[in-house]
Amino acid sequence: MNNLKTKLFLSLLASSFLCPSCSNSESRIYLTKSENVDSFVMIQDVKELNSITRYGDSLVIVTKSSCHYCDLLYGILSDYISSTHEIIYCIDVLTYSEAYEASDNQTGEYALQYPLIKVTPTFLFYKDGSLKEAYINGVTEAKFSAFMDEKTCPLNYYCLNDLSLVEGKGYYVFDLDEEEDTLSFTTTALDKKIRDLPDAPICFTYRRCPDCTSLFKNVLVSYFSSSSNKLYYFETEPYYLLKNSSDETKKTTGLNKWSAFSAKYHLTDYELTDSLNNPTGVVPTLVRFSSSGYRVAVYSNERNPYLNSDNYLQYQTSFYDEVKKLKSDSKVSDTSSTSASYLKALGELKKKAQSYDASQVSAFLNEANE
Amino acid sequence: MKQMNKIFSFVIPLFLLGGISSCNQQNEALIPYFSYSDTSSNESVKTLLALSSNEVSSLIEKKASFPLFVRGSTCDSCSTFNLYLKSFLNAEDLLLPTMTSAEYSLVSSSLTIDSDSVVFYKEGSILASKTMSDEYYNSKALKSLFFRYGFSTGITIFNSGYIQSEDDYSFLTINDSLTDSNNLTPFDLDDFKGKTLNIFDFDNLSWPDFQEYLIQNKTAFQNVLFFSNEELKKAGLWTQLNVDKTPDILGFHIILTYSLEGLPTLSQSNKF
Repeated sequence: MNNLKTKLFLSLLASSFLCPSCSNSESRIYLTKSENVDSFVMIQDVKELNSITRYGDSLVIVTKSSCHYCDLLYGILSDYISSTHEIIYCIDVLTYSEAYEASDNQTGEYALQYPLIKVTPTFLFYKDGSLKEAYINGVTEAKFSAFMDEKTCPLNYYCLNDLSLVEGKGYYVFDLDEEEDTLSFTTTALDKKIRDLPDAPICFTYRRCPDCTSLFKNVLVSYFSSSSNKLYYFETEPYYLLKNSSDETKKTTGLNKWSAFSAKYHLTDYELTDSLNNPTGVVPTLVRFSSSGYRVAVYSNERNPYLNSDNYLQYQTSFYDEVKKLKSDSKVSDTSSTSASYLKALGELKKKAQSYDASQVSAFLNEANE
Repeated sequence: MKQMNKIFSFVIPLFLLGGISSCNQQNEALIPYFSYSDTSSNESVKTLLALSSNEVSSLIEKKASFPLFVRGSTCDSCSTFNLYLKSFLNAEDLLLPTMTSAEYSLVSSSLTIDSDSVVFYKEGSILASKTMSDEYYNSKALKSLFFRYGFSTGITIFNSGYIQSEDDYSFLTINDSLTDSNNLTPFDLDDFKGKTLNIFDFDNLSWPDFQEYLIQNKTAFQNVLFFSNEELKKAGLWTQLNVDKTPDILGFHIILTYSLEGLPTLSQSNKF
């Protein structure tokens, strides 16, 4: 079988050097990991595919059930993921073709997100939510690690959302909520990790949130480049999608669920309330659980900017008191919140606040690892 | 094998018919397409009709009209074109003759084909050929292409061969009957004028399966044509078919109007 793998996968790789520190990472895509997987994750439907590819970095391999090369690749992937625990997605070409033929793949913001697939397996590399490369040529088992090093930059960023091994199939699926057809609300892996008192913080994040993207790019990437320590994350997408629903009943359910979730995991330490006057949390929030208790760090999410007596903008609400003391560089000449001077001052203030937040989160991350 | 020869021998006249099943003059210039179904399967099976180079050469020699899907991919199992082709064939209920490009290269006067292509033969000559480029990875584009050069006859062939699944495709396998010029033609469709025709190979027909098929599909057939060289001559089978008299078999086939209620109506004919 190994001989077959080697023979059948035609290699066209140009380089095979290892680069554990992910230098030149801009040319590669970031991959996160899960301690609970030793094989690939199968995408179950178009909605899940969209969530995975549209908002960050991901590797999606389009495969076909009767494809001999795909069968060989599955074995290679399992061997590779068993040792790396990277999250690599596969999708059946029938499911993929629904996304390919969908109207939003023809026009609009997400046009051409999914190219025509003529041959399986095809590797699709997504960076910052856009297709970076569609790789069709085969890869030998011997060169697969080198291929992945060339194309990807794995991070010690570990997912805590629940995954299930599909019996008899040898792959994993994310636990999806049947009603909402998105990530489920289950927290089994998260709760277990907290019980085990991880020697690392947990980042509560939402992949569609610009502040979370900002945290990742401005803080976490540099953290991972200088540290080999683990950081965990929990994707809160189902809560956000539900509480942002246009259906009032669902929205109320979502707000209540999120409030309870926030309280359970201490996101409510940043004292905010939602439209139902429930205590609520924000993302990204990082929580470090230890035997002596827990600590919280929040990135961005300042609220209620106001004009001080000198006509500079300040934030009334922030997780950090120091941020409340920050002022915009320029004065506001027109107090309308849509005026150029107001927007300029707001941009300055937000930048300062994020810079402070970034320094706090960086210190929090490093402190957590001490 | 003898039985198979008889089973498939009717395919030649189908290919040779050209535009017989429509009175429409426009269709007479086009290539006829047929359907296939299998009463022993709960699902409606749409297949590719696997032909050999000898069979295609024979059809060309006999000036037949037919489409031919030439599979040029070096890896059928990793090509995704079959998904779009199957979607089109299922939607239009068509049976499409096919062969590999390697096999096609052995056909006399063939084109040089390296990648997936469709060749349309009209009366033994190539009317058109199309390489399945990106634009045809789309069932609508395939429909537009196929119906530019051909038309659906409304003829469904039931239980006429062995289905063989290979990778994504299901092939209807024909052996050597098409190349045998001495094969008897079980019927003559020259007088058939554009009605729906359902052809059953009685030698391969499982009567319980057939009954279940009718019930499950809530189907009442008109112009049911049973043909057989063996079993129909046995009176006992007519009892199974609820026909209360043994017909005087003069030819190879009879025609029944088979409804879900009451007894089937028998008419016996060698001609339509």
